[in-house]
Amino acid sequence: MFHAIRTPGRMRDQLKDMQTRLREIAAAFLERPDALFFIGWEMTPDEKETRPFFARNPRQAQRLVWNDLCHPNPASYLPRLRDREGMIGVAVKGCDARALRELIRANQIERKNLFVLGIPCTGLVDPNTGAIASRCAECQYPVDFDYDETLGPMETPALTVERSAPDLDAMSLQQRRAFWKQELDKCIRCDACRKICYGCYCPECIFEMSDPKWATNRGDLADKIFYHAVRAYHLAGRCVGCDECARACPMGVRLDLLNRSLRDHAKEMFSFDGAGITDEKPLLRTFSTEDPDPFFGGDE
Amino acid sequence: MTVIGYMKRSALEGVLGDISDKLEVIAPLPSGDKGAVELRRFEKGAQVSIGPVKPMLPLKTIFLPPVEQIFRFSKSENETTVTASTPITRDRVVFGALGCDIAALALIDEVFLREPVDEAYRERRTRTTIVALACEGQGPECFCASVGIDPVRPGGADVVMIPVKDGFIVETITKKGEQLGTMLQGALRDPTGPQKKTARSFTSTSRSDVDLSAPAGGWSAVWESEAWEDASARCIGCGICTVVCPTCHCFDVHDERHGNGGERFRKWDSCMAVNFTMMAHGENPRPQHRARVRQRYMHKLVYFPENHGAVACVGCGRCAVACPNRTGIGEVADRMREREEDSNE
Ligand code: SF4
Ligand code: SF4
Ligand code: SF4
Ligand code: SF4
Repeated sequence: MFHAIRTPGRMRDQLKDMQTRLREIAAAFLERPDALFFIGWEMTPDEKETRPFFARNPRQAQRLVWNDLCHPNPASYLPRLRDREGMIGVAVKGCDARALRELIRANQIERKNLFVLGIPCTGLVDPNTGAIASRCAECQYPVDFDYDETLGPMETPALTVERSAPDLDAMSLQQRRAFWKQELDKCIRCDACRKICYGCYCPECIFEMSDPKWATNRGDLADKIFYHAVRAYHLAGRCVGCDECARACPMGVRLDLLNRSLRDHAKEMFSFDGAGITDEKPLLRTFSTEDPDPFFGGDE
Repeated sequence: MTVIGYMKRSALEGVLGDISDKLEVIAPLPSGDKGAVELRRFEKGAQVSIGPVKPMLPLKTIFLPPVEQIFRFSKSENETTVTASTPITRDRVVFGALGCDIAALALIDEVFLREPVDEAYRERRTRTTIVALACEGQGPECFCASVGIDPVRPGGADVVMIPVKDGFIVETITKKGEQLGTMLQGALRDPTGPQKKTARSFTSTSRSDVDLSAPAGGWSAVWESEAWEDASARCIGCGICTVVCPTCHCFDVHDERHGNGGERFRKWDSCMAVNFTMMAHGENPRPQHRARVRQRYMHKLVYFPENHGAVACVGCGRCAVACPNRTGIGEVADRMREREEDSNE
């Protein structure tokens, strides 16, 4: 069941072997008396995509898949499961592992309650275009984590690093403003981008509060911009670039570009190398008098 | 039902342009660059995108807008002024509406046109003529035929346009439809025998095998079932399924103040949202995720039929398409009937 157009045959066989191993490992984990479930992926009913799957017993583990369509980030379910008693198994590819690292360091889930299977990811395919997913083409990070098991050596993906268009930094301020106005106006404020994000685990989001009421509910462009600015900044230095928000958006808002520019700026301005990659302090928890301050006309 | 003539596809935009001098015209127009369509006001010169794409947001948006002002208020030194808002200013016509969406209006009518009547909704309904596009099935997700809807000549349409080669056979169904028919006259020709035949035999690919029936022992038998745990495991609670659903109609009322004035408006709400049931005193009677998921399906499959005599699903399949996990109502009903351990939906 592989629908990749780009993944060549040799690699497809490799993926299939990995899938067999994944099922074996998950089934063995689910034999444990303290195992609750194993979170991985299964095919969607139309077999064209994958979706998260909670396998609860060794038989269900046979429904798990690993292929180049495994976009969902299983780690994003962990914060809401933190109070369950027992062990949770979770399969993680690179971006998922980065999210998991961040969750553990932010005390959203305890390492000791997890069984983590690391997957050496070679890049996923966009089910709509058949081309390699843009975030994967840009991914240059090793997936460093203390895995319980892995499906092979966890190496840095050897992909050509090519930046997907459009390059917002090449636009003038006016062009960029027009681009974002048009883009964010598509938003219908369903908040799927927030609900799917591994990093949006606040027990009460400011957009859900009615007393005090921080944001209006009018739904005009100003509200949409406010929502997206807050969402993006709350994820600055924490966004791991899994692009789940962009995938979940029913209106096709290019949140991937918004997040990418925040990651770029964190790197350019504060030499911060991306969430879930190093054990540096989180970007928004550090302050230095040397920090650049171009916004207020300070030194560059 | 009367066949009033054949209209060329190429004449459509011109006709809509002429009609827009007299009525507000709403039609499926291209949206964005990915081939999506959106029901929006048609302006002269625009290109209509009739079939084969279903608009992501259903026809209900025209009658029950996502955000709708009820009144404005302002306060001066010793006077408070309240100005009621006008729901619509002109009579309207919607072109290219689909059977599922039109059938859904009849369900929403049950709620909004019963006493106490929702006046804004009623005004929009009575002042809008609905021109259906006979639907050949817009995608693999379509299953309106499973819930008793005729996608070709849907009940509730005033006019039906049936696609034939290079154009449509136009049939009028209601009085309102006949009035609109007179505005179309200039663009109509006498249909040929083969055109009439194609129109008569027009069929849809909508699936008729999706089963929304109750589990053995009825839905009450699964109220506490562990299967809801499975059904809600992968759901992220985003509520997109309720946003895109043509029959979902819940809203919340908000007052917002700006300086010395402000407005009251209503806005779509969703049973999948945490604070949908949040009370002013801070108590939430439906705090668990699985209870919210259960509510969505129970409302559609149990409470609505009990109160209004029909399942609140018209088989458009949008929920399965728009859900980040591709969870559709048919799949959930299947799983709840199976209720076996192997479910994870
Ligand atoms: S998922 Fe898309 S439409 Fe929904 S709130 Fe986020 S950007 Fe807006
Ligand atoms: S903001 Fe989007 S890309 Fe970043 S971690 Fe959250 S879901 Fe992933
Ligand atoms: S429940 Fe799903 S298939 Fe049924 S009417 Fe709503 S969106 Fe369409
Ligand atoms: S769209 Fe899917 S994930 Fe979102 S609330 Fe509905 S069922 Fe859950």
